[in-house]
Amino acid sequence: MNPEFARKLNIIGVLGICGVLLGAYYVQFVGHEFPCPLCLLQRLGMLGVAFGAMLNLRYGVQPAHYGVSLLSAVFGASVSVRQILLHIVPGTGGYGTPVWGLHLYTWAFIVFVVAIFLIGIMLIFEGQFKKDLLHKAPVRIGFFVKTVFLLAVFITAANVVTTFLECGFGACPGNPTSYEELR
Amino acid sequence: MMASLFLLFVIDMVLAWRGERAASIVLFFITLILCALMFWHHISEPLNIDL
Repeated sequence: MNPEFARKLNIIGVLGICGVLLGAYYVQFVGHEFPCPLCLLQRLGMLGVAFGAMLNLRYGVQPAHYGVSLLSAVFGASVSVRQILLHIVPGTGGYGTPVWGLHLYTWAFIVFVVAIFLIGIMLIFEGQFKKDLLHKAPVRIGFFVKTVFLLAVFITAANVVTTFLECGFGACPGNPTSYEELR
Repeated sequence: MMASLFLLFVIDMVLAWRGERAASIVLFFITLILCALMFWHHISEPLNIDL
């Protein structure tokens, strides 16, 4: 696998994570459902996965950047498994409305496991690292990659605002029913 | 408090964009540790499941 193809796959990865986070916003604002603390931690795990891919776009493809994504995916998977186990007992219900038959935290677990699997596959192809392994300075990036980068930053910044409105300065409520700062 | 974790990720990404690779990776690890501590805070609450 050459570095250019690996960079394209990383662009797809960042866009995929942005799509998942925008989907979560759709459920939050169109479905009028409030994200719980564990849901927000899963979003943070997703951002970590995207951040590793963004480092690959900015500095060239390097194993350390995949490590960043991998650690974030393991963290996110741990959080989503915890939430799945909270509701695994029959009759205890689940948090939020299911999407295509599964709750969002189950989808999040699937996303994290797929991310771990794909990063493992990517790490097998050493050809992508030869050119950029010692390259620590930013590489030249085009308009499209800049747009993808800015989209991820914008979604993260939006999460700062919406999470602050929901939780304020204190700890987020376990079962939020309103935006604390808008009451 | 949770919003500050997202804010740290914004700073991470801006640092990465501006060419501060080492600083952004160090800040990422700090952010991940804080996320893990926040996770621990939320899972250390007693469960309310009547088995």
